[in-house]
Amino acid sequence: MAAESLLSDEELDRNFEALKKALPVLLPAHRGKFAIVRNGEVGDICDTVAEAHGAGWRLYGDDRFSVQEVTDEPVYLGIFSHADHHGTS
Amino acid sequence: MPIITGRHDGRRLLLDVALVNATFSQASSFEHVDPSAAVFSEPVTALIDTGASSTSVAPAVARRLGLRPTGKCDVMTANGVRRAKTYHFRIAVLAPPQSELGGFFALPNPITGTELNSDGFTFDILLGMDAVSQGDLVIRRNGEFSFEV
Repeated sequence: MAAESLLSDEELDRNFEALKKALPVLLPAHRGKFAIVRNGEVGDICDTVAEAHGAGWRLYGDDRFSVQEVTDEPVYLGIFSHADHHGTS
Repeated sequence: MPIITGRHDGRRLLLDVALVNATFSQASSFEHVDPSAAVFSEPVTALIDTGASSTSVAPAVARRLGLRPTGKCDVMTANGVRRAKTYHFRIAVLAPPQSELGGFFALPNPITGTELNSDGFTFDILLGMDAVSQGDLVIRRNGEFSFEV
């Protein structure tokens, strides 16, 4: 895996906010696909995660971009994600 | 296709896995992972959780493995929605020792892993349905399980 993040937490948040702002336009045609986001702007939409990472490299020449799924649904991590501490599940 | 076998205790099902770079390959089926050809993590302990829609990683494990956040997502919790980092990777499962090939086999599709909100779990990652549904999981009443990928 890569040694460290090239994007700060603030940049990741900014890109995520940009995606959420664009969802009303993106969702009808691109739900479940993956958006490339950099500097708070959506650059492209790809069908898969792997395609998005490759397209981001080609578009920007580095990996200082986010890859965000086009969705308005929160992730559900299940009961174990907050009930298993120290084997107390 | 490799079949990973093991034992469960009737309560939980744990599996040894590794995390592989999401862009390592775009194979349409399982593949034997050559560590020299892929960015490849140390083995970690995964808890299979069919009640989770997505795979998740404890923060300390993400740091230890050097995972690079690729975005953020909203996570539903008992106390509402929180924001979490996401990581992209593929899951590779450890083949049984008696296997001719041995080593790890990567599931075909990259997944978006979510960072858990704390550490201290008895596992390193939670394998959600995004990963489990890429193989055939059989849980037997005699304490055995198999996962065919």
